[in-house]
Amino acid sequence: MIKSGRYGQVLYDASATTPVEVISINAWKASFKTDKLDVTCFGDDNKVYVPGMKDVTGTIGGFWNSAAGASGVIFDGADAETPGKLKLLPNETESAFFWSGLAYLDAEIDCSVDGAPTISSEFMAAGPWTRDATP
Amino acid sequence: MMADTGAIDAAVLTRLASDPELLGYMPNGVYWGLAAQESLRYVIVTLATAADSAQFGQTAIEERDYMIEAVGCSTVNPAVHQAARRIHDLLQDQPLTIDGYGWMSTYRTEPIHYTDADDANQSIQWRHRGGFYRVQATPLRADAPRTPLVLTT
Repeated sequence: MIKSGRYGQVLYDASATTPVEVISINAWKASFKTDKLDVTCFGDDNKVYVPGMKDVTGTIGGFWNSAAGASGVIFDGADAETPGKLKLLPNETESAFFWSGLAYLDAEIDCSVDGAPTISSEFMAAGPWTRDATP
Repeated sequence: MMADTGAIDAAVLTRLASDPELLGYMPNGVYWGLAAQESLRYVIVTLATAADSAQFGQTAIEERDYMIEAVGCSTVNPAVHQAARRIHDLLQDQPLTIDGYGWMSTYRTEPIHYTDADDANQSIQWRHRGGFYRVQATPLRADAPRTPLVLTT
C-alpha cells in the first residue's frame, strides 16, 4: 500500500546494536546503485555491461535540535571512528519494512538569519545492508 | 496532547495588552481582528499568514506573521508613533512564554505606516502605524521521541 512520507523515521545507534529514533529529521534518501562494468567487445551490436559491486549511500536531513537524541547524534556519528547502525523506515506504521546496516556518517549544518538551522548528513555503508520487507 | 496554535496568538495579545505604557498611548485596548465600536485609539492584531514546517510524524515549527497596528483617530491627536515604537520594543527579539511551545524568534518583517480618510467625514483621518511581526515557535513535543502512531479504522 502507498503510505505517506510524513511518518518516515531514521534510527541510529553509535554502538551498532539497537538503533533509536533521531529526533527532528524530516527527510532521508538512500541509493543502492550497482557499478556496471563495460565488457563491450569487437562486433557487439551495442555496449554490453555486467554488474559489479553495489554501492550503498544516502542522505538524511532535518532541523537542528539541541535536545538529547536529536542532531547531536548525527554530529557524534560524524566524529566516530567506528560505524554505527542506521535504520531507515519509509513509514513507521509499517515497521516491518526498512533498510538497515552499518554506516559512516558525515554531517553539515546550515544556519541563516531568516529560518531555522537545518542539518544534513551523508552516509555510506560500512558493512552489508539489508532490506527487510516482512509482510 | 497536541500544542494549541491559539496559544501563540494569546501570547502576542497578552504581551501587548498587559503593558501599561502601550495602553497609555492606546487607551481603548488591544483587539484581535476587530476593535470595539467607538474606539478611537487602539491596537489591532490580525493573523496575516501562517505556515508549519514538519519533521517526521509531527510539526517541527509553526511560523505566524501578525499584522499589528496602532490605530488612532485624528480628532483625539493619537500617539500612534509612540505606540508603534512601544509595540516594537515589546516584541522585537523578545522571548514569549507560549503554553506548549518553545519560543524561537520574534521579529518585524515589514513596517506599516499609512493614513486613511474616514468614510463618513473626509476631514477626519485614521492613522495606522506598526508592522508585520513574525513569531516562530516549536511544539515542545517535537523534542521527544514520538509515541508510535496508532491508526484507527
